[in-house]
Amino acid sequence: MKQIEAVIKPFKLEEVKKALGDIGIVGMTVSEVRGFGRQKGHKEQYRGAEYTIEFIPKIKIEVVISDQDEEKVVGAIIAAARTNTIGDGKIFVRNIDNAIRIRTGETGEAAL
Amino acid sequence: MAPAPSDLLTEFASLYRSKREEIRSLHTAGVSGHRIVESLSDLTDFIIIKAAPLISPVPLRAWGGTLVAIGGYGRRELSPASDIDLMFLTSVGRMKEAKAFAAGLLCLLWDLGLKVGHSLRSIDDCVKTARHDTIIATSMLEARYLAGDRDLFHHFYETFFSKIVSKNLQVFLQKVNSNKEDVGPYLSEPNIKTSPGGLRDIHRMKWVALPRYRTNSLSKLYQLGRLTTLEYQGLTEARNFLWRIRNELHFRNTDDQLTTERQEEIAAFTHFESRREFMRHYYRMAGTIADVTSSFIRVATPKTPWQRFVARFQKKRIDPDFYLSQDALFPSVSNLDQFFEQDENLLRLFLVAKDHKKIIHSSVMEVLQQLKVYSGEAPALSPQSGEIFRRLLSKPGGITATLRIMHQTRVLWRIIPEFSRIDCLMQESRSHFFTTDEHTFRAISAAEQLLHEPGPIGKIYAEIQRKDILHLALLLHDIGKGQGEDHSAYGAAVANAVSHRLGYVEEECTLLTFLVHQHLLFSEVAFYRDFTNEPILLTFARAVGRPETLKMLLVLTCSDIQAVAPGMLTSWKEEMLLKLYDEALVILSGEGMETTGIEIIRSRLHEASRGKYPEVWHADVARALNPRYLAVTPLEKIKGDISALFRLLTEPIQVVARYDDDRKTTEYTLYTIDVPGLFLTMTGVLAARGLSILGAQVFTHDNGMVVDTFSVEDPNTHGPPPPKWIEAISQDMKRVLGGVETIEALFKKGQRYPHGAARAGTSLPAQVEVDNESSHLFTIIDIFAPDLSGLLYKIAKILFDLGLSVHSAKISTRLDQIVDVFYVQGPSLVKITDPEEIQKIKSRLTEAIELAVRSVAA
Repeated sequence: MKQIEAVIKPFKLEEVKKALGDIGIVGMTVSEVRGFGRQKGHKEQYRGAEYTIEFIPKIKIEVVISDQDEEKVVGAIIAAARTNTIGDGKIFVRNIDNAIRIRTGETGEAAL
Repeated sequence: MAPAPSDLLTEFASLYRSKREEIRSLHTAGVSGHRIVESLSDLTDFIIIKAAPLISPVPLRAWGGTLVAIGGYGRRELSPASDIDLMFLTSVGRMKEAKAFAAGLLCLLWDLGLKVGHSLRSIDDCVKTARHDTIIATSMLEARYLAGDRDLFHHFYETFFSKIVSKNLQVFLQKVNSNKEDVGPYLSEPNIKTSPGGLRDIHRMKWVALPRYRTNSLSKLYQLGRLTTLEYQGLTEARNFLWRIRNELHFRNTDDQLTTERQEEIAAFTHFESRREFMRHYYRMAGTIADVTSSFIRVATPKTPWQRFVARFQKKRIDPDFYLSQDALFPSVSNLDQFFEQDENLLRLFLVAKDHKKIIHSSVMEVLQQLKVYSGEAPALSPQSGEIFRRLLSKPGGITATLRIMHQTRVLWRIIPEFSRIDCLMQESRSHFFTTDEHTFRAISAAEQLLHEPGPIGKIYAEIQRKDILHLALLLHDIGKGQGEDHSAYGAAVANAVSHRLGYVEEECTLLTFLVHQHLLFSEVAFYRDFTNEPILLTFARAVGRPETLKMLLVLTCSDIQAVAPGMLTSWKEEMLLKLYDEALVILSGEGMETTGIEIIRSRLHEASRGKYPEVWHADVARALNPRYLAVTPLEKIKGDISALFRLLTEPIQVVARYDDDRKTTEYTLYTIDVPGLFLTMTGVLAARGLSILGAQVFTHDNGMVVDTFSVEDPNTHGPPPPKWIEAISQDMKRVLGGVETIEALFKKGQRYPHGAARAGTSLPAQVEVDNESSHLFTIIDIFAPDLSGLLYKIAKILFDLGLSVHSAKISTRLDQIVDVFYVQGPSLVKITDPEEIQKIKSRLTEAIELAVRSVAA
């Protein structure tokens, strides 16, 4: 199993959610995060003391999928989240040892 | 031969089960919740007192103590899955025997399938534990004798009562009523027992009633006159309803949480048409419990001598028609019914209560409850009534509390009949925590609380001039819920009707309707659209139109989100909303920097210019520079501007040109001292030369010095303009301003007349907005128009003809349209406030732009 973690621009969430839904991925965890990558050098117009640290609001999506879906899922996220401008985000892929559905105790891919 | 204990055990167990089943079928058949909880308690009594001793290994006599029921069991109220709280009360020397007896009895009860919680205490233990633990103290308060030594029980109860309860009644009652949750009864998934408006509220009331009036029975309290008929009936009905739900939940082996799924099931069980209707009934019941119990507790809590002393002197008149009695508001008339026939009096009661931060006297509230103020229709409102209601909404502090009471007494429905439709209306969305009406009140309260918020949103709220309109928009924003697909559109129609009813002028009605209709626009754009993308940002700014509207919409959005559920408005969301706000504000006002930033620029400027100019002159100029100018102008340009301003001492009009190689545009900056028509002259001179103005920043500084920067495109040349052209423009300016030449003459001189060629698609209609709220000194005019060359001159001409002086301006070309922001004053250097005058400005400008567009199309 793989965990796909994608950090994207906030307004792309709905499109990415739909793209994943279209290829059969329904469960995901979404969080409001802040951060910066190369966009740091890009001058954002922040005003007032509250915004002196230039962390930029982003959305983080996490999904856990079976190994063979990796390419499909990554492809779908890229296609949906890309705007070809700086700050489009990043995708990280991790190996997952196990998954357990708490209600039934099912494990492995059956729990996804 | 007597049957063996094990046979008896089996027999009792099956007896207990079959009796429970009998009670369950009574419950299913519809017997009242009250009867069910009593029957279950009585069945338990029978098992503990009569059956168990027959097979108990240690007889009660051998111990000599007392069996006491406490908590809910003590009240004779057991739901099917409630804990049975049993206390083994023993004398000090009999502890060992007590343990032996308790061990025997408890095993038996567990074998029989009873859920027993137990404690073993001497009278001293009881007093000690109760002193430290209020929950245990309240459970003992409800102690009921079951079996054993009756004298020991009486001795215990007297000791407990005198040492814990009566000794310091005030402290005891305070403890009982502390740690109440402050979330109100209108939760999406309430807990039948512990949520506000749940059974726990009634328990609390009983804990107060028992020490105060020596009874905790509702019917006795009613007989004693401590509850009114209305309160008694309401409370009894609500309690029965909650018990019925709770019993059903327990028979289904679940806990007291009324989750969405369970709401569905219980709605079917209780024969409600839908989950929504079931929950609506639940909220009404919970609301009754919360109101009646809290008012009961407030009245029953004894006053300190000081409070009594103060109250005696507080019977005073605070208004010709109202006085205070025991700190509560009372109209000074003999016939309340007659008094309240006038809407003005009805509304004034609430306004006076709000302004003086007083509650309305309970006897007045009772009259209000009985009055048929709401008939389902919308009676005509007098202008005075409208005004009182608008005043009620204008000053933050107590607005929400007042509106809640008006809602409860239905006075609010008389003003806004549509509000009755969202009364106790469950929300369809799962993220919503509260009913629609509760969400609405929470949203207004969230806005009111911004007043004490030091952050950026608090500041923006403080700047809003017409808070009454903002609060009314919040009150109406979800009024379309439950009316089909588009609740915003439905709400807008209601808002339009309500605003006219309340006597707002046309412009205010339009604003209110816009806010309600577009209450989701801000979050839609901030969270789901890429507003770093110019067209999206521009469309948004255009839709909002004015800085003041932008401020209102931001606060409306934040308050709305915050009222969905606790913790919903995260700092992340605030940041996204503020980012959009900042970007849009730059378009709508040309501003966008906080005072601290401006001060930093001023001090940097001071450093850089030290020694170049006379100190006094430089200090004067630095102080006079327009904050907006400092915020938007690059430091290098400011330095250059200051040097040019210094030369004004010898040369009163100066024009400087600078070519921007990247953009292929030339920047003309005019430095002079303010005279009427300056802006018109500059746009005229540039237009007469055939130059298209792409953007402009126009500033009049506090000392009258003018720095006008125009960014232009010259169709005649590529590259920097030759010095003689700059000189010619400078000469034109001087001649026109000196009265030697007119602009018309310049145009006629064979030079190009602005023929109005469109540079790109011109599909969007012109839009002109006037904002008098965002600046103290100036009226702000926002103009959105198609990008036509020469148009700016025409606009400048109209502003001049209308007698408006342009103090500062920001002209920008964005995509296929221009966005112009003018800070203007009328002939006597004040804001333009006359509605007719404003209308004239809007229509003259709109007509002129449309005429220009048509002439291009033709």
